[in-house]
Amino acid sequence: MNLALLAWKSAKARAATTVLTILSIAISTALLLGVEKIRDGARSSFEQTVSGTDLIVGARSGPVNLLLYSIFRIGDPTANVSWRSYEAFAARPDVAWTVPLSLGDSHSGFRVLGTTTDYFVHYRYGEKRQLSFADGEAFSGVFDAVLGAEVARELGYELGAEFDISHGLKSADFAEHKNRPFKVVGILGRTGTPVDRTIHVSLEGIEAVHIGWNNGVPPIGRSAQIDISDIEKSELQPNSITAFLVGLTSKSAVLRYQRDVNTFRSEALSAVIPGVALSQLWRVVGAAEQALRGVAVFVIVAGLTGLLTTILTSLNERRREIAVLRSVGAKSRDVFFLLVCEATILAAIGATIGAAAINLGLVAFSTQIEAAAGFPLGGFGLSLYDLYIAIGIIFIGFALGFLPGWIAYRQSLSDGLTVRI
Amino acid sequence: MRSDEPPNPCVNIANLEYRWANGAHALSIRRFSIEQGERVFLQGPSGSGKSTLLGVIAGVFAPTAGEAMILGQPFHKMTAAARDRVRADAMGVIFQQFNLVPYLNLIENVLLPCRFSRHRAARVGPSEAERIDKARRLLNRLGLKEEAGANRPAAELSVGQQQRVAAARALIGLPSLIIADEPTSALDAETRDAFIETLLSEAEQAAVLFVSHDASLSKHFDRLVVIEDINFTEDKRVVSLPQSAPAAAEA
Ligand SMILES: Nc1ncnc2c1ncn2[C@@H]1O[C@H](COP(=O)(O)OP(=O)(O)OP(=O)(O)O)[C@@H](O)[C@H]1O
Ligand SMILES: [Mg+2]
Repeated sequence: MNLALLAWKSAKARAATTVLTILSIAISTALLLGVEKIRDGARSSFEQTVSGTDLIVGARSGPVNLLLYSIFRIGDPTANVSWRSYEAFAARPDVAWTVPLSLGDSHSGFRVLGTTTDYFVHYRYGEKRQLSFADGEAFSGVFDAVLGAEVARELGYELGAEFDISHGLKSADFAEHKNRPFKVVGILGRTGTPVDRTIHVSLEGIEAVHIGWNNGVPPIGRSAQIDISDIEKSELQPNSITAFLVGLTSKSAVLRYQRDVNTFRSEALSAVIPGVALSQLWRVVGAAEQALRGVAVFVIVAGLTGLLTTILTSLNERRREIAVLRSVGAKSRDVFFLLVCEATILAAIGATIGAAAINLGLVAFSTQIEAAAGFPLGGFGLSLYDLYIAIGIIFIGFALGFLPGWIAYRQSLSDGLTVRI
Repeated sequence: MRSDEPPNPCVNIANLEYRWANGAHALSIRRFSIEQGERVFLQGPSGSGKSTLLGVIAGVFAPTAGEAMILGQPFHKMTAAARDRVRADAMGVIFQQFNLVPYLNLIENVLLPCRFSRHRAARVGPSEAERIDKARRLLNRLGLKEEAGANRPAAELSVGQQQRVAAARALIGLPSLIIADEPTSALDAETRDAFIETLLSEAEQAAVLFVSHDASLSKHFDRLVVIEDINFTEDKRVVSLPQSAPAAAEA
């Protein structure tokens, strides 16, 4: 339309302020969408992380905490599960499978998970997808290790690479289990879950590096001299594990099994249903999400206020331009719509650039963001939500345009063809 | 229309009153008319209501009272939008200065009225290419051959050149009435006379209403009107007329 073209040319003639206005709207749009996308990404990634597991059992604690440390490798367990209890619950007739998990060690900032080869069979993510090997195979020896895709990529390890693991999460501190080299025998395919950032070893491997340790204190004196070759697999029966995953033969058994775990007399244990724990988690983080969203909305408000300021400031210098347009036949309401058009166009360009930038940026920097976040983020990309927000911003820009539009309308009525400046 | 008037004058004003929103009384004109094709020079001191009268004739201001038949249309009864359409269709307007939209080039400025009136556009030419050609030829005749070709923004022209572009815009598409509000006051004497002559010769059949307080320019026109002779607002009437007059004129 004619007026839109005129509005655009006029805005273009004031390049500096126009660019800055568009930029501020673009930045605020990007921020709002970015917050939402990372939130959604985290959510879908969390929801994709565990499937097909009926229950997670660990030392007694809140369900969220148990879920976080056992599946997402966030935080630390309060206590362990004794091997006897594990065996008792694994042997029940309603159990289809169990996978023990032993956490607490790390290598180069990546968590080491002690487990059994059942893990590669029964652990499922996304739509009940099984883990796959990109290279090599499951561990068989005590010091065999299977790397998550991201571990292998970031550390540049290939099959046959050797490394030490250290106690706790900090590498290269006093508590390194020196001279206990693990060897990479397998590398998993990418899953988009915390598995990608985990090093998997056998339970015996974890046990072996802790021989002689006492309550987290490194071995001293004679026991520190033990050589790997002396260690026999049979001696490496662990006393305890961190948690275990349970698959039951029927869904109807879940609640009974859970009750039995929670009321187990000889040890304080908790069993949580992953889905239930997740929804509790969302309730906890909901408040933080609201706060973030609130900040983003205020940034949008600031951006749109900038738009209004720019246009209002330009009004005075444009009175002549408007008088000229009136003289060639523009109606007062054309003058009104000229300014509404301008506000709408700037908001539209800003919102489009912002939405495009955040989408491209998140795709381009997804690995860096995931490394910083410590867990993978679900699929980024244009969504319906982006469209709604962009349309919303454009609509607000349009509505804000009514103010300068109305002022210019009034001005053009009293100015007529004569402009006094 | 009264029967004793010549048929279809271009501008025919009767008992016109105009007050600003703040109550200031700017116009009180018993009678004022311009015949078709007539060139009228309107003279008067600053603040005497010349620009206000032009605004009423151009249709941007609605008369407070009285009749204003402009190009055969009853402006005093019409909506603002309808008056705007008449202006777009059939009028050309030139101001004292700052006539051009700075971010449009010369051709775009000249063709601006075509954006607001389809009739005007159709009169200029059936296609955009033809209209551009017409605008370029008009600019050539006004001595802006190179400037029109160079696609320069209007803001880069000299004041005299800008006024000629404004004249081209007022003249494009054969308007019936050209209104010029002191278009030469920013020009030097020589440029000024050349400008008026070009404007009048290019205006062809159009009536021209030209405002200036420089009486020496009146020699170019058919008729000289001094605004104080037609405009009797309250303040002046206190001086020039008996005390009883204002009440009568007010009615
Ligand atoms: N927007 C306005 N609101 C109120 N009064 C106005 C407005 N514009 C003009 N006036 C007043 O109306 C009167 C006529 O003004 P106008 O602009 O028509 O004078 P003019 O004859 O064109 O003067 P000049 O030669 O200086 O251009 C003046 O007294 C002026 O102060
Ligand atoms: Mg004036």
